[in-house]
Amino acid sequence: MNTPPVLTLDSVRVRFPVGADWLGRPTALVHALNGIDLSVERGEVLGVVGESGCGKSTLANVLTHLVKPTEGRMVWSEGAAQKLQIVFQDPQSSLDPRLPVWRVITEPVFLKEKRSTSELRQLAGDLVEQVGLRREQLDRYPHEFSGGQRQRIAIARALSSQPDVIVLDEPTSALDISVQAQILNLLDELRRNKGLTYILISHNISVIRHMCDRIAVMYLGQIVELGAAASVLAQPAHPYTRLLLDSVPEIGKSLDDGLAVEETELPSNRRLPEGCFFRERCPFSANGCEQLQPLVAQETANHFARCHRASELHSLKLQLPAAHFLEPYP
Amino acid sequence: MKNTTVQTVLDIKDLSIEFPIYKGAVHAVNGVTVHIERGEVVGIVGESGSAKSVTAMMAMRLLPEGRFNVTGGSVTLLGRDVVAAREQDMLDMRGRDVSMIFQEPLTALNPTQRIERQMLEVIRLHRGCGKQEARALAISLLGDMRIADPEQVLQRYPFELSGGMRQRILIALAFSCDPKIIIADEPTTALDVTVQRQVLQLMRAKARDLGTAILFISHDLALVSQFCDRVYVMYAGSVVEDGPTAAVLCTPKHPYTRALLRALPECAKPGELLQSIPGTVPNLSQPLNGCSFAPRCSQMQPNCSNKPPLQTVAPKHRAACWFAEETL
Repeated sequence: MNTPPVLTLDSVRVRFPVGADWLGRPTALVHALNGIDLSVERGEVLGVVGESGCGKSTLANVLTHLVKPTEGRMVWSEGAAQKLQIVFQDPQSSLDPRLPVWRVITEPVFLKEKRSTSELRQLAGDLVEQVGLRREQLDRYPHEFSGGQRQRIAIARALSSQPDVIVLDEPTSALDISVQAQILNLLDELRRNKGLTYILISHNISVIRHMCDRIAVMYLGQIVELGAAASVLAQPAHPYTRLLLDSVPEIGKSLDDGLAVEETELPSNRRLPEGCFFRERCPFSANGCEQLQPLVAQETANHFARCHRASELHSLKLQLPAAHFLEPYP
Repeated sequence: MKNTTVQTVLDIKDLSIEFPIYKGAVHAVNGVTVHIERGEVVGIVGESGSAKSVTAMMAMRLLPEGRFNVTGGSVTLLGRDVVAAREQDMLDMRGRDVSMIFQEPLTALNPTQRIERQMLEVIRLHRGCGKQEARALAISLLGDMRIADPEQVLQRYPFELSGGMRQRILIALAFSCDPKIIIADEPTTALDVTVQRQVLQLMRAKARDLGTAILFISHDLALVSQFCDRVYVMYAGSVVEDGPTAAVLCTPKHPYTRALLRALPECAKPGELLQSIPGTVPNLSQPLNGCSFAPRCSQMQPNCSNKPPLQTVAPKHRAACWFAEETL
């Protein structure tokens, strides 16, 4: 992991004003992101997991410059073309229904560069073949395609401008299992062949486990755990990561197994909790948790967690059974 | 009560439903058989378009009147013929003997009314009790769903509550008239995993206490494996496999069930290719000949042009495949 980062987020904070008094001044603030430090290395797949309301989508919006950080900044490394593309969750609403597919796919290029129509068509033709569609489908419109095919079109569009980083915001959660497998395989194949860098945002832990090299776990606008996918999933250091992993349904696991909490509601992000953000829901909270927790390095290399009891909990043998895989059927 | 002696709660036999469209019809359901006993938790899994929701809606006859034709089979709910029943009889049953939990809790609640009014309306209508009694019942139901301050929650509007809270209110409401069966159509799809687990635990505990049967519809195989006693796997409007959950998901006999399980990301090691299912779901406006999965099946043989019946492959475990008995 010594490759230089292609993109770095430096203590990014985002606050949204909500409500207004009679002078139009905001009455409250929503703290969507609370200090995100993250670097993305070239050629890796970085997974971002967390529950709804944890700031995953705001992070995607910051990365795509749809939202400006209130504090902090986003820095591209030298030599990067500073291009970033996104594949959205819902392929139905993210493709312009009035453009033929070749127009949809080449729009990022069309907007930035002067290219002739024949060049654009040629580019679109090459791209649709790479994502597993046929050239003769170029003149069709998005509504003529199935959900999986539309997601392929969205991926082709993201590839067209040759971006440094592609943000995948829940790319398969609107798809059926069999189609999801096709799209994940396609993404994996494209990455191998082209050396792409992905930021994969998802709430589906099995997708994250399958695709990612590194994982960032988010809670209330903070990264609470960051590390190599294998070590975060097999030995989660933060109690929240553990709760999240224990709650994921798995074939052959009982509904009652593993860590559970009484309080399943996420605290409001209007007023941030003091100290550790997870303290009120944490079954292991103790003295010291009223301090703000920094990201502390764990025993395994490149593994960080915002919990001062992480190593203690680990030595108490409170860890999970290692992630197991289903045996293939005979 | 007449119904307490009835052990079979829901019995769908060889049901076929078509939806007329311009020039022709979509044959959405093609011979579905589902059987639920008292107190059983039964799952239906399938991908979109497999008619799992249509089947469940038909069990309560919630499909739009006049827009569908039942072309064969029967639906018997608590000993009553649903297909031939009068609308008034269905109205009496819905909510009292059988209730439904929908996917999206925000659209299932009326946004302009406080929770109290909505809950009390249902309870008083079906139980015919007074306001005070209904209110006490609502509070105890919400308490069972581990809602911390039920009295306060009753005074709230739906938009003031979180998704998990709203879904727990709907579950409380579904249990309010001690139904014999609850039909839950993807009840936790809109929820986060931590909330999902709690909601399902509460729902199952309550159902066990009251002996309520649950028909649980989901596309999530792992979730069904944790929640249900028995499972039906549906594909293109037919049941392709059914049996005890552990048997169906650990020793699947139908090629579709096997392919579906293999396509899960959990099934491959990180970095390996996933085994996706080639091809697409058949067009249901064309008549289906033979096994509906045959065009996508890796083990297709000439015999597959005849529609295979559900046949027993193990105790209580059936699969609709000519080669289910063989190790493929």
